[in-house]
Amino acid sequence: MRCLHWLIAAASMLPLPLLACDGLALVQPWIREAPPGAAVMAGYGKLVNNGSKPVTIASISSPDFGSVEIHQSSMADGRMRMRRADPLTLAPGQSVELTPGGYHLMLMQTKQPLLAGRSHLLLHCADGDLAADFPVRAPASE
Amino acid sequence: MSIAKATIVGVIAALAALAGLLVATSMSGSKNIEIQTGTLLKQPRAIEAFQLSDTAGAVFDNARLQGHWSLLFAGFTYCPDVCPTTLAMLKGLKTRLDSAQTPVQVVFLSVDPQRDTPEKLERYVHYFSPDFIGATGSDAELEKLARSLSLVYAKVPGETPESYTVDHSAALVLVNPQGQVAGYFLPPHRVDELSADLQRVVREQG
Repeated sequence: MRCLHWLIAAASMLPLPLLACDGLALVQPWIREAPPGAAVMAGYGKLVNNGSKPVTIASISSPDFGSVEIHQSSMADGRMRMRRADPLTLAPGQSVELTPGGYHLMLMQTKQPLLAGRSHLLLHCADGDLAADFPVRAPASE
Repeated sequence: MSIAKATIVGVIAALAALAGLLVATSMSGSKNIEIQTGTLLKQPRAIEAFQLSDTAGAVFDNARLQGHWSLLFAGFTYCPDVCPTTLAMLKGLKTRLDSAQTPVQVVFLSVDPQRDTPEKLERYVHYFSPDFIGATGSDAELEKLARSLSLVYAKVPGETPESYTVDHSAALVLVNPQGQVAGYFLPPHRVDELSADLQRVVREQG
């Protein structure tokens, strides 16, 4: 019995990547290449909840940025506006496109130039993290 | 005067007025050009005298909008989504127009002079094209120009004093070689349609 307790304690100290953000996937993530010295960049992709329970992305972090938030661009009365949109909850089976002119990851306080490089982001959910690797590139249409 | 005579005089007067109106319309040079991506003003509108600076430190005023067609877009460099999307579109448009011998000057107006220093604005705008002009200035001058261009923008506070954002008009403003507002293009902006419209306007209105 004591041995079992010890095992449970040991297991709880290990990272559990397979159980984190259960059901959540980020498909084809990418970061828009930005002018050198840009203080803010934008990340895109498609968030999908393949699980059977709602998943909430509480926050996001990255070693390359001081602050990361989910924002939404929208147009109303001929005006472009941008507002914070996290925490973001996806119902089972729901997907959210992060795309230019809509939802996007607002990557603030850029710590180093990211021209044609890669960046790592951690999406934090209640049960752990989802790690995502983002290539930095110009949009395909340009 | 008999009723018949009065009627004839009235009809002649009406015809004369109509003829005068037609002559005035044709002389004002505003042809009715149908465009698919925006609106051309029937009567181009003057821009009140303004003075901003470009990123090289030179004066950017009404004179810089004369002698050629210009497209103006208001934004700010802390805008990582819509502004780069529009500037990248404008880069594609400029390439297309240049190869069609339709020179149009592209101007990015920063409505966030507090954060957009000339150096920051220059790196940002010239990343898209060295031909693009970045301009900004005092709040008073920017507001004056925005009013003339019928553009609106408004600072929206964020969670920290530095993290504010700026709501801004999404339209591109077309300025004619006389330095007057000639029309507006509204999003979604598509290079093909914009290029076709601009070539037509420039060809027909010179």
